[in-house]
Parts: sequence; structure tokens; C-alpha cells
Amino acid sequence: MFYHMCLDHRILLHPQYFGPRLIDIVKKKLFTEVEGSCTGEYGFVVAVTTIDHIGNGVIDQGQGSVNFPVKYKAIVFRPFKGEVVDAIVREVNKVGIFCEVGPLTCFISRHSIPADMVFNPDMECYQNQDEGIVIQKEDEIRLKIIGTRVDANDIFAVGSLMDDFLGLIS
Amino acid sequence: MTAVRKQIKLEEDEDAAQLKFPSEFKTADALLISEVHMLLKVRKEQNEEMDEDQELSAVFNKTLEYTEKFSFYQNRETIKAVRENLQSKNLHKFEAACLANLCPDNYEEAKALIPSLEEKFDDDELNEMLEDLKTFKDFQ
Repeated sequence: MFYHMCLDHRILLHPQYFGPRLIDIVKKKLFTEVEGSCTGEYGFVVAVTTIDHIGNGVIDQGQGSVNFPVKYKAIVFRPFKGEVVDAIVREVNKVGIFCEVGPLTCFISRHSIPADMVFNPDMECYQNQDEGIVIQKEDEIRLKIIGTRVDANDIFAVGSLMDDFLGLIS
Repeated sequence: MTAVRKQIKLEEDEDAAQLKFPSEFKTADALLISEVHMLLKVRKEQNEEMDEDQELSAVFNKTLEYTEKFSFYQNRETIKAVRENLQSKNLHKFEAACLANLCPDNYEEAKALIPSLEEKFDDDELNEMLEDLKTFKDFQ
């Protein structure tokens, strides 16, 4: 789910930037440092919308650099266990399906795909012979997130198609 | 050690199907995919206008592509109407955004995709809500 949230960040600035454009540089640095970052707590930070407050800088003792506390609002994407989302299929192979929900990569294991959907190695797709349903690369599917794993700078999700109303979006 | 234990507990407590979220997200504003699409489009245009071109992150570009594909409501007025309509109901912010994003066809589908709706609404109420959403989608 996408959220609009208030977040904090500390900008560490080297003394070479101290000058009339100081605040501009702090703002610019905030954009490059937080946009595209990812934490387990808040998920992916997609875009900063507003900068609410830049606090007084505190000089690092012995370093000369200055720490600015910044409060800002951003669009974040955070996956939750049990959430149903739409995704774009990126890769299909015999172990399962890899797909993307915006910035998030999600894996659907062979065992979480209904048993009547069979992998077809020639076309690289999962298909259901009786109903003629085919899931292949670039298709849009609806899945349920059953778990997430948080790495240092990424979140990885595991999904399932084993429920009613999940699967290919017609 | 306690920190590790706390982390595990947080993970266990999280379940969107029962509306259990980490504390930061309980009151945060959930956005519709269409709203995110609007905001990102504006941001991209601003970026292109600037002289010194700052590269947009991979996360940004992936999200823009995703929202372009799955954005149901195309203009500001429709999005506003959808929001007002959903806010007038007894919906959690997460449920409201899910309903608008997934656009289920009938009450059975809505309850299967968003199980927390089951206790709050009966079938007719849900159907009426979905009809409203569909009308917004079709006439925009």
C-alpha cells in the first residue's frame, strides 16, 4: 500500500558547503539521500513531496561537519502480509513466477500456484489446459502477499495465487 | 537481544487481513494508486523543467510505470469524488484504498480480497459501495 507519511532524516554536511546556498544544498541532499532508499520500517521512499522543517544544525565535535535534522513528507510504499495487490509478471520459470509491485519484487513459488496451472517450458508460461488461462511475461496478475523479507536496502516479498479471485487479471 | 525479540514480535503482529499494522501506519494516510500516479507525474514534469537534470531513482521510475498501468481513475475530480464517497463510509483508511485500487466486481470478491470487510458490512451494503465505485470509473 502507498502512504503519505511524515519522516525524519539527518543531513550531514561538510564545511565546504557553508555559504549563502546552504539551505538549497541541504534540500538537494535530502532528495538524493532519501528518494529511492528503503527501510524495513517504512518501506520504499518513492518521492519527497514537501519539506516541513529544517532544524538548527549541530556541529560534529572534532569533525567540523554539521548535522541538520530535517522533517519531510514523502510517498512511501510498504507491503504488508495478507495484503492483496496487482503485479506485473517479470519472469516465469519452473520454480515459480517473479513479479513486480512497483518497486517491490515478489516471488510466487510453484507450490503457491494452483495445481491445475502447469509450467510450459516451451512458451515459458503457466497454463491451465481446461480453461485456456495463460500467465506469461508482462501479464498483470493479482496476488496475496504471504510474507516479506527485509534486507539492508531492499524488501523482498513472497506471494500466493492460492485463493479465490487471485491470478490473471482479465 | 531485546531488540531482536521486539523485531520478531512486530513481524508477527502484522496482518493486513485483520487490519493489524505497525504503529506508524495505523494513522498514516493510505494513497490510491491513481493519486500516487498524479503526484509522480507532476514531480517528473518538474524534474524535466529544471536545468540541472537530477536522475530520478529506479524506485521512482518503477513506481511510475506501475501506477500508470493500474491507475483506474484518470482525473482529479473523479479521484476527489471517489475519496469523498469512501470517507463517508465506516471504512478503515487501508480498506478504502484497497477497495478503490482493486475495484472488486461483487461483494463476494470484495470480501475474499479484503477479509476485514466481512464483519463491518452486509452483502447489500457492499454491493452498493462497489456499484458507486464502478460508476465513477465508467463515467469520467
